[in-house]
Amino acid sequence: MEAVARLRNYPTSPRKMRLLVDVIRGMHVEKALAFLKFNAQHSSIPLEKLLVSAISNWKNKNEGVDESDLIVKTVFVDGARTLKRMMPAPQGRAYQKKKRSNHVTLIVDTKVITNKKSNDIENNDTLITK
Amino acid sequence: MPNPKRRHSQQRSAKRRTHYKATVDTLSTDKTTGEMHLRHRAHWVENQLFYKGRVVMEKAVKEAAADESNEAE
Repeated sequence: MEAVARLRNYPTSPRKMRLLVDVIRGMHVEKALAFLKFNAQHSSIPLEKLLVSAISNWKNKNEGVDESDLIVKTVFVDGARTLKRMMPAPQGRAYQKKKRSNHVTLIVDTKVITNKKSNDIENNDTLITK
Repeated sequence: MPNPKRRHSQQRSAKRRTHYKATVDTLSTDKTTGEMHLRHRAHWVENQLFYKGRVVMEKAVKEAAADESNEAE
């Protein structure tokens, strides 16, 4: 059974967060952890914590279930609260500067190979026939 | 001074950014510790520094320092 972990209002822009999140998506959990551990971008630190949290949530939910097939099933980044700040501009004007933050939702689950493959094949067939 | 003729759309920026991705470093698994690490880089496992499956360095044990302070008393 899948387990969710959420990161709320992390003060970096969704664009920067998505760079790493896009890499992790669908990855095996151990590989994703190693990738985040060795990544130089600052947003890898909260993401690593989030993934560890999601894994332990999953372990609490599924005691005694084999965890070797755990993958990052879903991850997405949403925009969160934006702080508006003033930036001095020429000729007495002021531009708005947006200090963005984001929410990350991460779902881990065991990989189901048989179902997914059959679904994919079905979808492909329908696409071809259309 | 030359200036842009038109404001370009958000779609245009989004399309440009499809190729802007994080780089993925190649990781390999150490044969003795089983830990993932960056290639050609040593890694720490329980106060021991491993490189190519061998211990290269060990962290100084803190007990020795504690003993010295006891002797001073």
